[in-house]
Amino acid sequence: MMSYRSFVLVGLMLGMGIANLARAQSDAAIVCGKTLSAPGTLSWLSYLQRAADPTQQVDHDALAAMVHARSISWPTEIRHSVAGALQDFKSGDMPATALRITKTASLPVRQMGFQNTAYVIELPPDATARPCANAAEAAARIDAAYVIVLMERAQAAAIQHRMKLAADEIGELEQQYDRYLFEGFPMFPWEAWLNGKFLASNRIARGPPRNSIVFLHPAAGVVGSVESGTQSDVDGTLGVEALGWIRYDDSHRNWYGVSLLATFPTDREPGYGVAFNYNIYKVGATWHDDKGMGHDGWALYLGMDFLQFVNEKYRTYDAYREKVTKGLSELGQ
Amino acid sequence: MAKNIVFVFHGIGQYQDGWMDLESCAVPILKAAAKDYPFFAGKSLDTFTEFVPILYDDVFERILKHWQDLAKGLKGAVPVLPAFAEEVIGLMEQAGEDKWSLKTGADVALYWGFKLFQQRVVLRVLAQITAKIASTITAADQTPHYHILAHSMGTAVAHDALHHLGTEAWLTAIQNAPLDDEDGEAAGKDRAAYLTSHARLREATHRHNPFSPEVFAFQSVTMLSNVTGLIHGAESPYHSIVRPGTPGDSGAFTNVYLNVNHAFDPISIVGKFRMPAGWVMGGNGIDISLKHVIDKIEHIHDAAHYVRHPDVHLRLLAQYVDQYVPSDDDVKKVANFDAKFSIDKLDQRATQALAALASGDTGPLAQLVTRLRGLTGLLEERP
Repeated sequence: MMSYRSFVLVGLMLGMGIANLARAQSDAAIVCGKTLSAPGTLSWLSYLQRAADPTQQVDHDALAAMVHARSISWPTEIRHSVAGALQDFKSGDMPATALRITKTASLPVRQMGFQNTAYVIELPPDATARPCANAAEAAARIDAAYVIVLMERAQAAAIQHRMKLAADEIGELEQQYDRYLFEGFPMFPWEAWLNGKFLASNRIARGPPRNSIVFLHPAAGVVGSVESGTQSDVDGTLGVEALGWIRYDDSHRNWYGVSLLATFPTDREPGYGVAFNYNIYKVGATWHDDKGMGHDGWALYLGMDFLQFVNEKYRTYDAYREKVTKGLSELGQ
Repeated sequence: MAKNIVFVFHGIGQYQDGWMDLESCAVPILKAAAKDYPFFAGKSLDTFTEFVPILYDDVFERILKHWQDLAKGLKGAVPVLPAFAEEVIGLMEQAGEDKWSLKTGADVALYWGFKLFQQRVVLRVLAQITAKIASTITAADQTPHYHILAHSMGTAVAHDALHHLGTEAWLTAIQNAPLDDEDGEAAGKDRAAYLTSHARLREATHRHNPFSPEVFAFQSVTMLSNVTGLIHGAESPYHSIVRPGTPGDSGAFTNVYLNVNHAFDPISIVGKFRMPAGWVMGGNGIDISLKHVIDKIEHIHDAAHYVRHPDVHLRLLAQYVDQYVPSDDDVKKVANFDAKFSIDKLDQRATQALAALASGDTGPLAQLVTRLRGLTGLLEERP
């Protein structure tokens, strides 16, 4: 099984073999007065992408021999740094993030490779700097810098596709959160706080909660008495769901739940009962102690969250499916 | 040629497209400052670096608009509201009005107090960052380096977003994606095949997160007027992965961490992030406390005011431009600038006004500072 680190090392090997560290002018980092150019050909990269085949074997010995052949004329310190870094990276003892040329933030600025590892190597930009004073040593540092640039490039090629997948997933999570926060059961400020406090995971990648606490939730509705002997008129009313629970389906597009309900009609005494939610609709039953005004007893409550009328249509699955199909084709399946 | 990428985070307020080019922001000043150095003669900073504005303010606007719509819908449907509801709904109705959030510090309250909104903001930010990185990391012949430049409340948002980016298993989310549409059956088959390929790739790479600090790290994180000590989400800034690299630490998410505050910026003072000594000793944590004043003291909190100081913009230019290393003459400008614009040069009246501003009692930031102090009080009351 070919590991991620092998991806990078194969890329490095092919980069060294094919590109031969071409010297075209570019705006890359400068080491010992030399502007580091990119490899003249990037055919090794397409090879690297094909190397997703898990049966691919890596000839580590050939890679070591190649680095050894190139570094034979280098000063011992530099040769050991590069060889040691390669070995530690292969064995997993060195993070991939050390594969780069970095500068310190202190003034005056220093430039180095394999920073924060045991193999750190000075790579001064200035050709007159002491580490570059000797021509052979300067040439070795420039060559070592090229190795680092190639390693970093190979590392980038190895993770780029997964970065794309992760970016797609984050985009999908954005849609899920929007459905929960803005298109689902509407949350008033105090409900948003409660649901965040008690239901939200610390891990955003898990998506928004599948449940929602209903607390002092106002909604518009009508109430009409259903008891025999009462007045049959209906009245627009404010309904307040004192406490309840909402459950979403997997897509966060549909929801249902139950709440304790209080209504405050203007033509009768307040009523108390229970309400059931299904998407934007509410149906409930409330009891009114209203002997004097002719609405005593049970009443039917019908309500809705008006906000939903102005919301955009829910997204369809088509976009996601298109993304999956594209991902498959990119993987060559 | 690979351009290095700088993700720029705005502070509190209302921002629209093009905000990054405002003169109070860091980027125009950085571009102008570069022209003062011989290396950049005849060259534009844009040649070397791409500045990417990260917008998240629109999430707050959407939340406030949502509440305003809720209140209006309710009030329209129920003409006569009971007194207790009238007041609350009335407040919500104002929520979406212009500059309401700026005046009341609502952005801070929404971000700090509402975990779900905080997560939505983080996703908004991560969507922009990850898409940019994924599309640029192999787009040129050499690998670009990625940087964060954040200001004020943007420091808190950037910190939280980066911590989530580097610590969550993003590639497992696809397995839980809903498949209940009318074409769900076909999509399910697609996904099964997709996941098979996906699992194979994941097995080959042993990682559920291609943005984990072991395989990806930012080159620099710069926090101007850092408030992460006061406002942070899932993890404290002293224990998160948003820290500079040191030998033996494979969990750091940036090579360099620049913490830049101003001794007289009330937001800096209330924000109270103190860089751990270990970061400084490791060499990649730089802690700068500025004491300069240019132009009006009311602008002391502006990102532009911070970046005008050579001690800040020289370090940024060196990080953002691979080929640029400040010369000795360039570095001398730091001392020259201090000699010219230090607060010691102010007259007594200006010094008093500055002290009043720093106390948070006067000036355009007074109301916000008061609210931030309220947050500080809440934090201190926590067990």
